[in-house]
Amino acid sequence: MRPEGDRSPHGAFVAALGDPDRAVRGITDGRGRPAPDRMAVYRNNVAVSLQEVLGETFETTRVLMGGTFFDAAAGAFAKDNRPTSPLLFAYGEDFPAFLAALPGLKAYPFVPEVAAIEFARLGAYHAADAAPLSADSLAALPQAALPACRFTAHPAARLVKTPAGGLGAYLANQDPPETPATTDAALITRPDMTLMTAALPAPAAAFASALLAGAPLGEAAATPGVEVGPALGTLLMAGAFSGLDPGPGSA
Amino acid sequence: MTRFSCDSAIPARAGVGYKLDHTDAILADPSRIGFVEIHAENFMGDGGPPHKMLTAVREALPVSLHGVGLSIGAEGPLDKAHLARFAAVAARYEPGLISEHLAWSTHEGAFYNDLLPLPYTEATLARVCEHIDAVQTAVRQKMLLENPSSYFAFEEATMDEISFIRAIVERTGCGLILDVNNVFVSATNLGHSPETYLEDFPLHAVEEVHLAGHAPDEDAAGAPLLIDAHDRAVAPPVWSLYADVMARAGRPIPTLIEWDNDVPTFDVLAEEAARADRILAAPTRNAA
Repeated sequence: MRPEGDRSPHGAFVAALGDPDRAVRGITDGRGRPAPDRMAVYRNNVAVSLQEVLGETFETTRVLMGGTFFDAAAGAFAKDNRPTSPLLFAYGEDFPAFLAALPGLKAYPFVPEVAAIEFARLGAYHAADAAPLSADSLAALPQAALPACRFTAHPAARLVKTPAGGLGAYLANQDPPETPATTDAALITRPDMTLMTAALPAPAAAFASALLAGAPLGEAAATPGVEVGPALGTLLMAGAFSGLDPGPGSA
Repeated sequence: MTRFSCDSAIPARAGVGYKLDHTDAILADPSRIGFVEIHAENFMGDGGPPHKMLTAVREALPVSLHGVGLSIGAEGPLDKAHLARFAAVAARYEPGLISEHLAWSTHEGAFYNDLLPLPYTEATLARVCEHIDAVQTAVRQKMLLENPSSYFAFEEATMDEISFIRAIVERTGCGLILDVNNVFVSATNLGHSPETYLEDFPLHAVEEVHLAGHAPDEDAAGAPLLIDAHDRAVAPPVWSLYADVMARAGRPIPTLIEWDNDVPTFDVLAEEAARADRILAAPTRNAA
């Protein structure tokens, strides 16, 4: 990805894709007229299509920013961050961080958080299918075995911290709009085919983060301020886990 | 032996490009179309609604698998991981036909999300043939190659497009998609006759035809420049060329209506497909 030092024909072509001042040599209109202007078709196709891909992935972010500002930001991002694979549903992972660095969004730190929620939802949408762990599986364990047990994160489960209010902004712009009581973090799940976005207070988010990373329940339960019962109930209801390892020594 | 209720073979009818939003409408009456074509890359996720919906559609209709990201014309070798994903989609959905474009879209690890052009030379011919061989080996099936839309000509070209495509067919044994809209777009943009191009095209190798809409524009000199936009109905001159070429082929060839931007309802797509079906019925009668 270093067109500057790439002297191959395709290297020169992709350098010209990103720079209207660079001409591709030796192209004509088919009737003998040199037609470097026609390179604009490919420049436009590439720029607009990637901008549209980002606009679809980050739909609510675009609503919050306004189409003009968003499209300019998406265009600038796409020019310097080409997709690294043809799987366009994986494109844009770095876009929330790109937005966070934009001077024009400094006063709106919730906007990059909304973008992070949207990218997490896209990942959850395409994640592997798995049956969620039921609350009954946990209830079947003896009380003494609970501290050592570990959970397997469901392939679709994602946790996005939104201390600047991104979750509130995201939910307020859905149809129908929602106003959660807390907006510290978003838990995104897809227990079957429908995406869910749940709000977690900060202690529950830290607890969830530990469990999704594979920490034993007893260790995660030591998270300051967490109400273990309700927090675990929320995670199980949302389908955040797909398996349970009772840990060493269990029958 | 297919795992699906519906056989894999693509019938000599009209099909449409599959959009997830059309799933319910397709399943309500699959007989309105002969098949769906899917863009392989849209079904390379691990799971979720796209696979569930396509599986339901595949139970009712055959699928033609169309890649947009293998980058057959790339300077470097094919991306092995992407080729493996492509082969996995093929193994999962048992497509009746598999195809890609005479174009490139990746370079040095970056994907440009467009079908970029190639000069027609001995060197590019050798490379394209090598890549087609790799695809056909990976999917264990013949692949079809689609003629491109051209916006300019390369001075370094040493052969015309028809000679290039004929040589590919001879060397690799691949089949072809004849995109009639691309023929019209290229002919208009480069100032040649679409009829002459179609007369020379190796029709015997064509196993699928594409029809789509194009957007009119003009270049800096004011010459017409058509864009292969797939954002509207098939244009009247393209229907006319299509009817001519089908009559000359003497056999009905599976035909796809492509409409990828500003996508209309399934009803609109099905009506375009019905129009193609009526044309497809004509050469069958002539040949009988």
